[in-house]
Amino acid sequence: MKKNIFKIGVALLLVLPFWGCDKFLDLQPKNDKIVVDNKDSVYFSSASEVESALAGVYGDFRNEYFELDYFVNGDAQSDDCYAGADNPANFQIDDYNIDALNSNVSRDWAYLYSAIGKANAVINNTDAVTDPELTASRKKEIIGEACFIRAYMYFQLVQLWGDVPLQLQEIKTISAELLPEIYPIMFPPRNTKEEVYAQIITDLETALAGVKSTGPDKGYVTRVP
Amino acid sequence: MIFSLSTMAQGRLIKGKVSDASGLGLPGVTVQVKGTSTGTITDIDGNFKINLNSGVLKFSYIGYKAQEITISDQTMLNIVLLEETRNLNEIVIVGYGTQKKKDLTTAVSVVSEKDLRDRPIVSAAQALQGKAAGVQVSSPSGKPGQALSVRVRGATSVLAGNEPLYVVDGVPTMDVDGLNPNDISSMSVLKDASSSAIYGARAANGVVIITTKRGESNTPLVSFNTYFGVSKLRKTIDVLGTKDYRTLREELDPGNWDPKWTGYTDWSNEVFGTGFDQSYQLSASGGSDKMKYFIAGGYFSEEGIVKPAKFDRYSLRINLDNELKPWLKIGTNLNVSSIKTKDTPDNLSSGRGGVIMSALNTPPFLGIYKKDGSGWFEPNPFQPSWENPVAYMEGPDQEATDYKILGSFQAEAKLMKDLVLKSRIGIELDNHQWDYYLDPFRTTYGRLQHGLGRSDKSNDNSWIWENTLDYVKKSGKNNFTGLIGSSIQKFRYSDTYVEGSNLPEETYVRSLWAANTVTGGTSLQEWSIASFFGRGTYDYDNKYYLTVSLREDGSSKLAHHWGFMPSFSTGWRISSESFMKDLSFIDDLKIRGGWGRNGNQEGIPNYTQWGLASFNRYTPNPQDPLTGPGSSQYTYGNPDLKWETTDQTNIGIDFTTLDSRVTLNVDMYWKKTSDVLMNVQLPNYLPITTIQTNVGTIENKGIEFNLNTINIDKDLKWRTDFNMSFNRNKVVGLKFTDVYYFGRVYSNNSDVAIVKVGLPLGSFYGYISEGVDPETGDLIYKDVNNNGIFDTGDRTVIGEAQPDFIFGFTNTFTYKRFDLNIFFQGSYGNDIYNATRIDLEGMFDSKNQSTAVLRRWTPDNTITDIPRSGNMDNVRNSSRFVEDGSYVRLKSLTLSYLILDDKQLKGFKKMSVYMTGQNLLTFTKYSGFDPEVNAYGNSATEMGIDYGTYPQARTLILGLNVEF
Repeated sequence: MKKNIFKIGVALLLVLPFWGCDKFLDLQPKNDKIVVDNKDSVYFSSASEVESALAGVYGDFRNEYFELDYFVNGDAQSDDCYAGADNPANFQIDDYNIDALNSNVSRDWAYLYSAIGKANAVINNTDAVTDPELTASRKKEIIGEACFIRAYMYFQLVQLWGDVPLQLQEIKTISAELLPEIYPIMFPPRNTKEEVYAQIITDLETALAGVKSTGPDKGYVTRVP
Repeated sequence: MIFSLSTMAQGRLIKGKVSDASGLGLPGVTVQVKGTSTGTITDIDGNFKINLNSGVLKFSYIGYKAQEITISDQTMLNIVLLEETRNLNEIVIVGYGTQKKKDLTTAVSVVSEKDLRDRPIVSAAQALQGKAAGVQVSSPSGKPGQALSVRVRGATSVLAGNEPLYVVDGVPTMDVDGLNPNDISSMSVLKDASSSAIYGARAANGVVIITTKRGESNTPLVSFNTYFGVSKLRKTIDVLGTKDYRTLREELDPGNWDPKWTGYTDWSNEVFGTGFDQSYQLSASGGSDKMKYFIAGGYFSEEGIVKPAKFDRYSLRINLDNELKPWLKIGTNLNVSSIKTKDTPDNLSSGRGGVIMSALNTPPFLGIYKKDGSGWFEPNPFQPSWENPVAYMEGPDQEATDYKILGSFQAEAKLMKDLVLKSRIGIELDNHQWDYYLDPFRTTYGRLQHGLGRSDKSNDNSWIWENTLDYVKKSGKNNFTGLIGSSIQKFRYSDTYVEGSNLPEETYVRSLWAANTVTGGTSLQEWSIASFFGRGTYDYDNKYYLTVSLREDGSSKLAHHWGFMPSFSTGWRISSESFMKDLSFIDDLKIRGGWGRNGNQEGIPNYTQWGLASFNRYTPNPQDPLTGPGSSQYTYGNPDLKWETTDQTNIGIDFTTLDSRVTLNVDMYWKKTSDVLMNVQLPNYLPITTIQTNVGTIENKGIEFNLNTINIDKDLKWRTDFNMSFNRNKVVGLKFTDVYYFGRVYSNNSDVAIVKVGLPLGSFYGYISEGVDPETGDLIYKDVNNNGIFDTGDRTVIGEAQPDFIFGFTNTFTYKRFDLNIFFQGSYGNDIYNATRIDLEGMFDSKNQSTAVLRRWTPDNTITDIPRSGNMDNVRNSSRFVEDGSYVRLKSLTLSYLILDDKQLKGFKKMSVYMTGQNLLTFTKYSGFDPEVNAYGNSATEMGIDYGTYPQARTLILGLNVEF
């Protein structure tokens, strides 16, 4: 009898030892950085983060919109050149035969708003940075440059589509638990052309007041002194 | 059967024993005085006692042929009962155990060794095709070594994977490519929730349990099998010759034809060749009571019909069973294989390297090599970066090598009379290496990069440790089994990738240390599962059955690790009831029903609870060079992510009649998968524009039939196995976004597949073509939204890739020494989107076209089905390219002849030769190469799309089997 109880005990010990299993299931990523959700804390915590975000905004001038689609929309449509290669989206634009599924059109919208989103983050959060390395005048320059770029992007949008939504706030994080609440309001309606142009002018005036008069090269926003 | 207990009273005492053919006593056998209700049952050792002076005693037992003995003056009777030809006592492997076929309360299909014999099968999944009701197996591509798509009762998921879980000798795995099908003894497909629930979180798509061969004591057997096969393309597509191509070119681009272009190359002839298969397998098995072994080794090679695709596999298996002590047994299974694969790029357009499309689209006047003797492939004058198909086939030198190990070690200890403890450790290792080299001379891209080299090495490992405690108890007519167990499994995937360009001119130098420009990196991923499970079964008198199983699974992929998967099933053997005893034509009638819940976490990324940022390299600011890489967030975290769970209800009927010569199984099921994961689209001003979350509900409901009949059983034997399955798939709910598009077609850059509530997965979406307008030569598209203009609102559902039903039909004839096996398999009601025809009939650029364009609209030929050249509007996604993909295929036809059996030559057990044809005949209206292909592999949303996919071939095989 004792022998049996001992045997069953050993068996149960082997079969059900894994109550400490939770630790076995806690695995961390090894390739990527975990992004800590800091919706209550500051967006940028140091001067270098702001500078690298501004570099990201400038970096968007190297996307497909500015390196290809800008020329297809302009020069191919106006007969300065014709669309080559094999992308039917380009042919549609060349032939004035664009339909609602044209992938160049949807990607242009995406590229421009993506750039605006990055600019919004810089414009709205730079002032809150407390790092002493970021001087007040540098903050004005940064905000001014980002405002100019945002105005430039909205100028592209209003020329292409007329009435477009004015998105001037960035959204810090999306979580799946928030999604049901915010999804219905995430896609705002179109603002009128007049409202967009008014915003462009406001942004340009901010830029005029803030940016430097010379830059390291032609790739930076500067003003005529 | 209900007996009166008046057996003790009248008559002479007759005692006896009922055994089976091996001499083992059979308990529970009914001993009945025929014509009365008096009788008894044999005890646990098969003994019985009955009082009778005279009359007839009938001995009957489920699964055995009944016997009647006329009683005159016997006092002792020893009866031997023989098993039925359709064996209800056949053992079926189920999850973590076995059951007799007669005791099944769940939906399980069995594919046994005899279904695999003499059919040259490359992979385990291929063995299932057409053999199990409810299991749809298709070859998305005919490329050697390409994975098959296996669906058990329809697809349930978009992102998380739809392939079933394979359990090989107790080790769960998703990859059975290294397994040699010759080593398989049987496969059980657990189709409904209550059978697969014991595998919980990985079982929503069904479970295929594979058992490999084991030795038997005192039965030494050496077996040698070999075969050779030849494959050819079943069907060709004709394209224009140089003269007709010139006419088309002058229509599209007048004045740009160089009169020197007069050559002709039949590109299809250069691309589609003859494939060769060969296989050699040697195995030895046997053993004593205490030790049994099965050892097998083999070599298999398949060269595809389009070079350089090939698949070579060396495999070795060792299965050992040892009884160390009467209460302790150990088992070892080890499978080691080495696989070499070469790829032929397909599913791509002719401009992107797709060999199949390039064979059809390359201008016919081009030659293979430039005529100046430079060794360069002749460039296409219209598109210099588009090479000819021979350049795509022979330009790059690439090969993948996989070393795989799948093994397990198990110990089984009998703790007490009815209690067994089993502990098993399994491992799976896959060492993968892929190398690619493009020389700096012969191709345009090679010259542009001055040579290109790529190398990818990865290791995919997992280990599992399982412990179970099994309890079996019989008491009178009550049978009870209990099982509790636990399992932990850990997976690890690591990868190293290096890519280099600007290589030396010596084309034999392959080291990437020689690349002047180099990039690369390493990565590591891990995930783990832990589970607890239990199952109890109870049956009374083999009449009333109940099974309950519970499983609790934890996964490292989700923030809320744990999920609970319960299930139950019941069964009722109606034919054993007294009110059925007059219906003697029914041998066995059982109904069964059950419900269960399973989960699916296969395709979920490994670290979903966190938002993750990846890293990118950039040239740093020279004043501040050591600031690390740039980073950008690419996914939002989702700590609430749940498993996709599938709830399934199943009702089945098992019916055996005509002396067990006819068996019919019918199953009806209803599956609902909730919390289906989708990538919900977010607005573009966000840094990441999709978020993966649980949003969908998908439903599959259907009915399956399986019929096995023994038609003739004399000198000529004829047996039929038939199965047919109907499945209706439907997307029932989607949150947030209510429509998703998939299946981007390259040439018109539009999506053709749609996921929307109310539609099944694999629906095609596009315009409805109403034929060619005789006045303009352009297609007329139906104005579906009735607004008077042609716009994108005219798109609608134009086809469905899901079949109405699928079936398999096997007939086996045996006469003296000949054996003929005929296997048909087919699918009805499935549509195919023939995107290949867009590139073959589009006439919008310099691609060569099929001969269909000879019928194109011209001002002299206005009534036709092919529109005019030069208008891309005519190749939008529309019903023009939707075709009926229904087909019936003579999948295999095998004729074998037994040359020698054990009576003729001492030492030999058997020697037979066989001839098999595979894919010999295909009856279909589909105009493409193969109705079974899919350019998107085994995707559930992008099904049935043909775009330059490598077709299956027709193969003829000659083989030899020797056993001694």
